[in-house]
Amino acid sequence: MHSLLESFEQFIYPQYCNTCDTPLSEVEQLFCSKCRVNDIQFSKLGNWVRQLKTHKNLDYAHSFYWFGEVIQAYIHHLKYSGWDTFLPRLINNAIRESELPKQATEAVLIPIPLHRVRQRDRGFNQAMVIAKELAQQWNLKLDDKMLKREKYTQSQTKLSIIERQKNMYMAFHMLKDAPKAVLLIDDVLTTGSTVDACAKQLRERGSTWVGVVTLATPKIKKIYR
Amino acid sequence: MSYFLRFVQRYPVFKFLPIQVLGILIGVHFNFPLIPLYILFGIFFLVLFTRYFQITLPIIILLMPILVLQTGDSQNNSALPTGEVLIEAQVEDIQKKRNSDHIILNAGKKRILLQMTDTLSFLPGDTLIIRGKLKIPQSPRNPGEFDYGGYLQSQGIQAIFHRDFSIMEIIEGRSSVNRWFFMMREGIHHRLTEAVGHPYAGLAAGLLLGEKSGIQVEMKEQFRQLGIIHILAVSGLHVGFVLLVLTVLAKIAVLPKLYRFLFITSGLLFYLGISGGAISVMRAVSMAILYTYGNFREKEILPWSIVGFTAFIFLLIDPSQLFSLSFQLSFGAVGGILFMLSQFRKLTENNEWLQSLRRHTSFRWLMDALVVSFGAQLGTFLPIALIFGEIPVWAFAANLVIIPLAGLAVVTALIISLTLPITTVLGDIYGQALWGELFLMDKVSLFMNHLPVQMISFHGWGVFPLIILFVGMIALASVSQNRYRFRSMLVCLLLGNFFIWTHILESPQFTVTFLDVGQGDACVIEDGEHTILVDAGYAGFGKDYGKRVVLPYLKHKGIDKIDLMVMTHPHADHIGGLETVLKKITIREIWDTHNDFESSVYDRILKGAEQNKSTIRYPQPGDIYQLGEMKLTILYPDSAIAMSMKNINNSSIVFRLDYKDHSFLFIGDAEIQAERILANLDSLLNVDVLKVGHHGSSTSSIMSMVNHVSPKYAVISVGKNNRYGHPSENIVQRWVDIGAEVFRSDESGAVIIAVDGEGMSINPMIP
Repeated sequence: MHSLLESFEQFIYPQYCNTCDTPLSEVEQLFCSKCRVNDIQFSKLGNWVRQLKTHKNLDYAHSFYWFGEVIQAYIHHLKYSGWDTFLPRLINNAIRESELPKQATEAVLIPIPLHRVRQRDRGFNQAMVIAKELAQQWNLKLDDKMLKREKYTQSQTKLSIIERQKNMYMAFHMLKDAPKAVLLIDDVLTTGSTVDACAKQLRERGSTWVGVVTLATPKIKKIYR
Repeated sequence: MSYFLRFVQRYPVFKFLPIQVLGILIGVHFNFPLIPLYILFGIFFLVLFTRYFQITLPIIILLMPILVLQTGDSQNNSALPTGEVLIEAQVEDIQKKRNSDHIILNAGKKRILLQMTDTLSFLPGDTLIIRGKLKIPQSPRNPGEFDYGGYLQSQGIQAIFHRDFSIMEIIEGRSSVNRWFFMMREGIHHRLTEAVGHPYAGLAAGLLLGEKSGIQVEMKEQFRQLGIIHILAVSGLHVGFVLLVLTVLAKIAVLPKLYRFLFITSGLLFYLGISGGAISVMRAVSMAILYTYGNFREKEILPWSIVGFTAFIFLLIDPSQLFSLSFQLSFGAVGGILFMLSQFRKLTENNEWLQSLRRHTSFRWLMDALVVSFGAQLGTFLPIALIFGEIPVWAFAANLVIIPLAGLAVVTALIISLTLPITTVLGDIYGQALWGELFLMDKVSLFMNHLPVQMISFHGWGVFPLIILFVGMIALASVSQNRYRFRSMLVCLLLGNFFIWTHILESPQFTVTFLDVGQGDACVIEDGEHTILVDAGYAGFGKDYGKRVVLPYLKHKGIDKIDLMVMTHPHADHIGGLETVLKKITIREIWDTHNDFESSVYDRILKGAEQNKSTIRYPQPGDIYQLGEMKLTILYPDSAIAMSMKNINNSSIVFRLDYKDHSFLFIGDAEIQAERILANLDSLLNVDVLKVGHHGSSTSSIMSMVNHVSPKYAVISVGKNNRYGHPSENIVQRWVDIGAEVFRSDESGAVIIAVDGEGMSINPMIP
């Protein structure tokens, strides 16, 4: 019965690899296994907080993957079509490969919030989806009621580092006192201006150790670091 | 070809769709004995799941539509009883129309249409017991006339109750989904009417529910003229807007994936219910559900595949849909849009300038809207040009403005219909907003209606030239396939040339068409270059044969100017229809008689002729009028005689028409007094074809004249069951006795006489 449904689905929804256009099997999604393996690579950066352009308030930074075509596609589908089955798998794989610093064993996970207008527009916060998964895997507390995004900021992809910092100035606001150790969670980390703005707020309200963990980071770093 | 193969490979459903279409075409054009067909089908079905799957499945798909079509045919043969019947039937649907309610009844497997003018309260699901006269829907009686019978047939309706019936008993049906939706629909309709108010309440109901009865005729005409009437029929466009609203709602409510899917699906089904469940909505809703399901299962959605699959399933259920206009328009539009979008995407990939433009959001939106609008227009070109004979020019510009407005209005109307009971203040605000949106729509379309050149006419083009033009346009639009593009365009140009030259070299056909205008006269004479109209049928008391028959005929033939109009005499059954014709068609010259007849219709027509700048002439016996190869000889009446006649029928213009060696006599309503004078003309009266005087009345066709004329064909223009008892049996017999073949418009509809190189042929519309 199950296979009948699946072959039926394959008839109506034939799937092709987004990179090499070969037909996909029932278990593959968006990309064929070959292209996926080629594209998804662990960054193996370890703690790279020193390499961030903006890291005044940060103690730790880690990104699981290099931000490639595949991850971009999954984040896109998570944002716009609400697909949420692939991401947990991606995170599970990554956690096995990476270790947390000892300061983070008691940390509270905080997803970088979206502005409420954006959140309503999308229906959910992709950072929240990642944070939930991580909280479960690491057995840490999750708090998404602590930090609020006050300023509606435009997309930062075309902004320079100075502009980004200006853009993020006073963008976040704390609603209550912060715990001692905090891990901020987001989908992609580039210059660090967004997380650093968050960290600044957290430190003002009592945090002593602030780290950031993201799903991915772009490989071409020269312009940022 | 390789492009096509790649396409088929990519979308598995397109491996089967062409086979299925082939099966449908075979099933329609050939007849097979049923039982061997069933056995064959059974055998293939049994071996379907063996290792010959690859061969048996296509054969099954080929056989299926043939089987369904031919089984349907054999059932149709056992038609409903006609004439006086007592019938029990269940109400399936109630459609409000302008002047009456159309009730679709289900009697066994057959559908009956009941046209009711007074309202009786019953609901879908009730059973009616009816005694009355069951009629078969008419096939068109004139060339170019709307095929109402065929239209009903396409809905499975095979018989009509109209006027002569009485409902003996109403048995209330059990509550059902159908019933519930009907009441829901009525409730929403009522609510919308209250919220929006005059004059846009009808338009609001039309937009949301496809309920067109409340829209003013002028507004509908205005939309039709502009080519945007499709927004008033609930279709993919509306379902798309509903899907959008539901998706946004589901996102705001942060529903988990499964609930989101269930919520959107049930919302779509609800809309299907309240919009009356038309087949076009069903198709669109199916596509929307397939889309939502694919998203739920986290499948990347290939639109072509979903569209193809929907077409496949609907054709599987009812293969004859392939020939319905609604099916062709739906899939034509969707296909056209998808085609243009993919072509445009490929074009942008290799074009820096376009890419730079697309970086601006507003440009991107505008470009996509243009491409979609153009795609829909392209995809529906063939069916529209073939059936309506003209393509609205501004449709694709109008769509750009009207569709976003319509979308906004649909969403607002949806909110009103669902929230008004909660708070009336809010409802009022939304009502005002909706009124404003509809007002804008109305005014924009009104403005665009004043733009020059509304329609491109393709009347009289024929099927093949249109197909070639269509293929040429597709080739022109295939911007991503440059190699094939120019080759196929060249082929199309060559073929087009071929058609143009054969058309020019072909000798023009001469036709005389006696139109069926009920009790009255109207005849069109054409030689391919000039057009003569002799009388234009009756108008009055809500009937207008000028509008119903004459104008559609002229339009069908692509005629926009008349060289000569002969008003034989000013009775309303001869000139009534002219009033409307004068408003739409340029008439160069009008023939009239000197008479002292007075009527308001006559006055209006003379005024209309003045506005039309037509020359009015009073021809005298002996005058000869030459138009191309047509020679008109006036035989009667002298102005003095015309004035002296008390009975205006006797001042009818009588003339003889000669084309090559064929001759015709038009005698108007001339009666005994006039015929006595005519009879003196001896051999001048001898013709091949005669329009019999005064609808075959016993006061005409005196023996002396009959003997002189002795035609091969005699045409009597007369209405069925007219109150004068025309034609007289004796007179018909008199013409038969003299050796004429008699045609009566009440029996054969329009009578078309064509003259070509080989001679004269006569074809009645209803053989």
